[in-house]
Amino acid sequence: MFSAIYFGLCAVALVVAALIVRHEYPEATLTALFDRMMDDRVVRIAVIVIWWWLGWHFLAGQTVDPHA
Amino acid sequence: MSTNGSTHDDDAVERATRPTLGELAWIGIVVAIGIVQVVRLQWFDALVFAAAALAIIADSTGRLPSSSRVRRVTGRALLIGGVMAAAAVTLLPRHTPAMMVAMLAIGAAVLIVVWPGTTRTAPWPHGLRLLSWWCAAIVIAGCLWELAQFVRGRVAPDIPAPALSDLLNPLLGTPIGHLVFAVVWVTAGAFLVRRAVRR
Repeated sequence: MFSAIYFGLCAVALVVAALIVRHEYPEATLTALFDRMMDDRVVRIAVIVIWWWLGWHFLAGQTVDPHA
Repeated sequence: MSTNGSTHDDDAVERATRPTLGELAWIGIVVAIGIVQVVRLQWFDALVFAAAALAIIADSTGRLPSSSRVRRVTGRALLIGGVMAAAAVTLLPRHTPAMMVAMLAIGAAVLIVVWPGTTRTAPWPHGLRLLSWWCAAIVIAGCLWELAQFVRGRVAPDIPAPALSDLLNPLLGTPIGHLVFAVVWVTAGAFLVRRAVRR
């Protein structure tokens, strides 16, 4: 239960941080952040691989380890 | 996912031979996730991250051909690709060979689309830098907790230590959970591809 709350708080914190920063710097949006990140192929490939693997992990591969 | 194959610019660009601090951080993240897959004995997953790490290390050190060309993807092509991907990952049962094939096809298609082109941009605006630090700090806090749960699960299996996978897996076992995850995952992918090919 505590883990669920912790991950939930992280998600809320991301939203709140984005809103606070955007309030002070209107150009600082998450879309603008990803635009900059994806300009660099090293970062772009890393982000895409991590995104793809999340799908693989939950839909195709082994999601939960049996002895965990 | 189809593209029209056109490019913004065919000029080759000179690539730096030393990675930036940001690139080093992302290389470290990919390597760290790969190590966790080794500990999990998930050899295919580990292989994926090893290949990704090798590729981005080679790219960051100027060992891969580099150009400013970018594959252009129309909104329509992205929409069609996204709908096809969503249909596949929504309708196919989890953990089946068909789902594995679909996931591999989606990954290969996305990689082909986003691979071309690299640019070194001007220094980031202060606001964007601030946002990136906040996001990084929060995501790292989440990842450290995930890692702690993973380690606790290995060291003391009797003590409950649910990682994100343990929490989400039962939800994904339901049709609505599967549907929601698939739609969110494909939407996130479409967003990333859109950001990657917009340059």
